[in-house]
Amino acid sequence: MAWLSLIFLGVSALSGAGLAPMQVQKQEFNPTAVAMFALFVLSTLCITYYSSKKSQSARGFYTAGGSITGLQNGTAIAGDFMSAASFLGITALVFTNGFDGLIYSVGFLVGWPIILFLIAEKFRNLGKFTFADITAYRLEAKPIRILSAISALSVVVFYLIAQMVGAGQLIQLLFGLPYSVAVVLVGILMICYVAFGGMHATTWVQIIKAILLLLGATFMAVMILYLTKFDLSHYFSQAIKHHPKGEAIMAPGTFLPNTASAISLGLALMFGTAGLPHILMRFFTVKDAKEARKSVFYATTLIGYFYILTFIIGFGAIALLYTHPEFVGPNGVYNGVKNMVAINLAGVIGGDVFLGFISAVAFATILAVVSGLAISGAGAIGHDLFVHAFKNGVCDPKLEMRVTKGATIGIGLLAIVLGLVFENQNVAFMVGLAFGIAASVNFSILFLSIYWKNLTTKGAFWGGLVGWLAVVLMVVLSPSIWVKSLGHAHALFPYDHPALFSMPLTFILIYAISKCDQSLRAQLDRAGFSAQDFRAQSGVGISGASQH
Amino acid sequence: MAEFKAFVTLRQKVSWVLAGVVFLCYYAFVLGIGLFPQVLAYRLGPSAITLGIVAGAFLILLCIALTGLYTFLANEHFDTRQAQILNKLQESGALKELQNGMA
Repeated sequence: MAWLSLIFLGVSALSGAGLAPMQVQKQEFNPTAVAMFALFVLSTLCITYYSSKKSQSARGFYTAGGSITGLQNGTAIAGDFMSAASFLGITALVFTNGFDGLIYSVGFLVGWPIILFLIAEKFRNLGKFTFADITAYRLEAKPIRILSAISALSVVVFYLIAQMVGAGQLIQLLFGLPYSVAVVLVGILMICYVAFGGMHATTWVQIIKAILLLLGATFMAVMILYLTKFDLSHYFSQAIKHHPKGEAIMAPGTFLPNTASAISLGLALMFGTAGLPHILMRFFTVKDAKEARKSVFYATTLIGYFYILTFIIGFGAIALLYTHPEFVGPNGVYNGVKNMVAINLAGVIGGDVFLGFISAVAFATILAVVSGLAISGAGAIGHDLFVHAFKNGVCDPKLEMRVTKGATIGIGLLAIVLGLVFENQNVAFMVGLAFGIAASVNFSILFLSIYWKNLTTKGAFWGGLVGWLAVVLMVVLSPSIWVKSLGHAHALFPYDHPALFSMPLTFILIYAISKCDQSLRAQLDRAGFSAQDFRAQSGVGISGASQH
Repeated sequence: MAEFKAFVTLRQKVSWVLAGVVFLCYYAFVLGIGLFPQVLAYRLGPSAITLGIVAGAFLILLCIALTGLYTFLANEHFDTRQAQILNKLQESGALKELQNGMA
């Protein structure tokens, strides 16, 4: 691993040269947090070592051999979904805007029942390693795999940038480490987990982290309710009394500028979840549709419970932090870092040890999410692009694994570089962009290929490609980039979330092009539907025991 | 064959109805935020809790309850029923035709 330490030294030297000005103030060195985090890293690396034997084959690498149970997979999905951004972000949103934080929590959750009712079991019955396995089931493999890989990789990369930048800033605050060291550390650990331990290690990192986060958040919520005497009315009135906005925090406020924005955000959240490649890939780690359904049920329960906790913690922060003079300026305004509300509250409730615990869990959280992203990105490159598009589906398994592991390392290095490049950029829009692409492109093609007989290769490819370009263009022309980043006076596209427009556009394009398509290939595509539908419904012929 | 198709249609109907319920409740909530924020700001009795908070909590619980209901229905009933029908099809030799998409 000499090259790993080389990269590490190289980047530390760069930051030492003063290339990276610090934006956020650093916390003093926090030994409890670092010790707890070191413990987490050591135990997960042990699991990675143990997993490395299981991840030699493609099936072992991508799907942990299909040996994960519904409960384990559900917990891992929850671990993947309860990112540091949603824990710290939603508590901060509730702390600042009160009720409006609930809009996000609910939006992130409603995608799950939709996934279960419409997609999960058919998905498990049809697919093998990546979601392109489903879209390419009866359509021409090459163009469809290329399109799916473009769209999956763009979702992965945008999501990854947001996570890396968040990680760097968070760790700088929590542990007192320099930004660049934090980004490099996250990147290297991600490469280790994924390249050596594959899906098996990634799953266990997510499970351990989900349990730690849920325990920590439960403790916080119970303590908050204990401090407000387990009386909800008293608890909310305390919050109203202390917050500068007073009673306004109990009602929808000015967080979303208009109804169209609210609906657009709602669409992106609801259907974007059903198109996130790293989430969809988790359905292949269980043995059949039955376990896939159980996974969604456990995931929905844990995520729903978690969002209720973040809401309690957010309001608890209003009720409790404003009574501590060290967090309130002379004008009665909160003077800490907004995104650190949950961490500050942890210190107030449980002292230094608990503050250290929550900090360590927040860091662990980022590792779990980026590992999930990396493995789905590696799947798109190794399985979809290399084997199916470049080698026409015929490839020596050993070579495939070498390419996939190489892709993992490449994605890890890219994540480090992008994390360093975007250090001082506001990357909040990138999560929105990732969800927009997932909802408009991935979900549309996936949904139509499962349910619509007349979908053709041409329709899916050109409709998907134009849809993808449209989402990216709409976001570039939206206020968050056109005005805030590029400094123009007016946005050419008025909404930050494009889904309300890009989703129907993609659907209509795919529909129209497929309908007009009279090629020979289109006849094959349509003729393949009934066999595909039978397998999707019945699971007969499912790739449970396939050895690759 | 007809039995299998009827069964699939029924199961599909259950999925669509449940998805519809989630979709309607969620967009009622989103439209409420956009168009009638004052309704969601309505306070329940003397307490500080508003209708909006109850609605949000209800939606979270609804998602959990409906995924639980569907998982129970599918894992306990649909799968058993499907296995019976597939067995019958296997015996009559129609399974191959379905797998090859000829039916």
